[in-house]
Amino acid sequence: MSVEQVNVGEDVALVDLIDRLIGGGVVLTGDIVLSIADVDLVYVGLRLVLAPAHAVEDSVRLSRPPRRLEE
Amino acid sequence: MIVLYALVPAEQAPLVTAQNGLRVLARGSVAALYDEREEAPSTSRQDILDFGRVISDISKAGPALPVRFGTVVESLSALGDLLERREAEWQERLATVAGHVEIVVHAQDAAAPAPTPAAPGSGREYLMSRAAARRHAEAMYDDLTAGLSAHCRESRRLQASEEIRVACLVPAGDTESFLAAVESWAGAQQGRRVTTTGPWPPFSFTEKETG
Repeated sequence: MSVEQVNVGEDVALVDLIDRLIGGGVVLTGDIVLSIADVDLVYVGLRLVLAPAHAVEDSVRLSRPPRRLEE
Repeated sequence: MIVLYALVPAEQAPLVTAQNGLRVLARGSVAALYDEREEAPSTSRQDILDFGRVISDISKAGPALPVRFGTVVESLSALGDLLERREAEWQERLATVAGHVEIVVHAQDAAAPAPTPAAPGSGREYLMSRAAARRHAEAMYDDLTAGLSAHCRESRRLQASEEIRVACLVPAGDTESFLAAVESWAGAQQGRRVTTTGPWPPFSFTEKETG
């Protein structure tokens, strides 16, 4: 396996991990935007894609107000 | 404020909190693992990865439902209410993910039709190219999930731009045969390329599949 292949694999794993940490898991509310290695990862409407409406709880809030790409 | 990490079976919580210093609030059969902090977690890469390490440690101790990074609750009473309302749902999910890990499969096909025409053309040509690429991707997704279904308790399609990305819930002791099935699927047709990542905690299986 070449170095290039290893790096590609590590990048994919890192992106998957971070994607799952912020896009997976038990959803209580909202979306977040963050910057990784100077690249903004923008999650648009993840709540609509990943969580049914009943998962949204009024008593729970995100630590930061969500930023959305559209609206 | 209360920063949530994961939901675990109540009887498992003392073991987990002893390992990593988290606090626990149990209602019925389900417990929430949390930390009390003055400030909300930042969205720095380091904070996210640190959170991931704690989730990984929790998952090694037994079944766990990770909570999405950055989730905080107002008070312990709000968290208690939440646990009471959703205990049955989370209990079912904990039973489902017990003994399983998540593996993410990325699949591409070099022979797939391009989503846009090679040369600038009419709007109709553009739309037809898009439709052909979409049909090809859907067929590949169906074929991939069919090929792996015997090894996955559940699967979820994840968002992806130029590939198919599927999260599979695989028995922890069956990952080698799962990866062999992935390789077999890729080798069945020229041009297919797959990458797998994991095993991860069951990030994508914290909610029952809908629709």
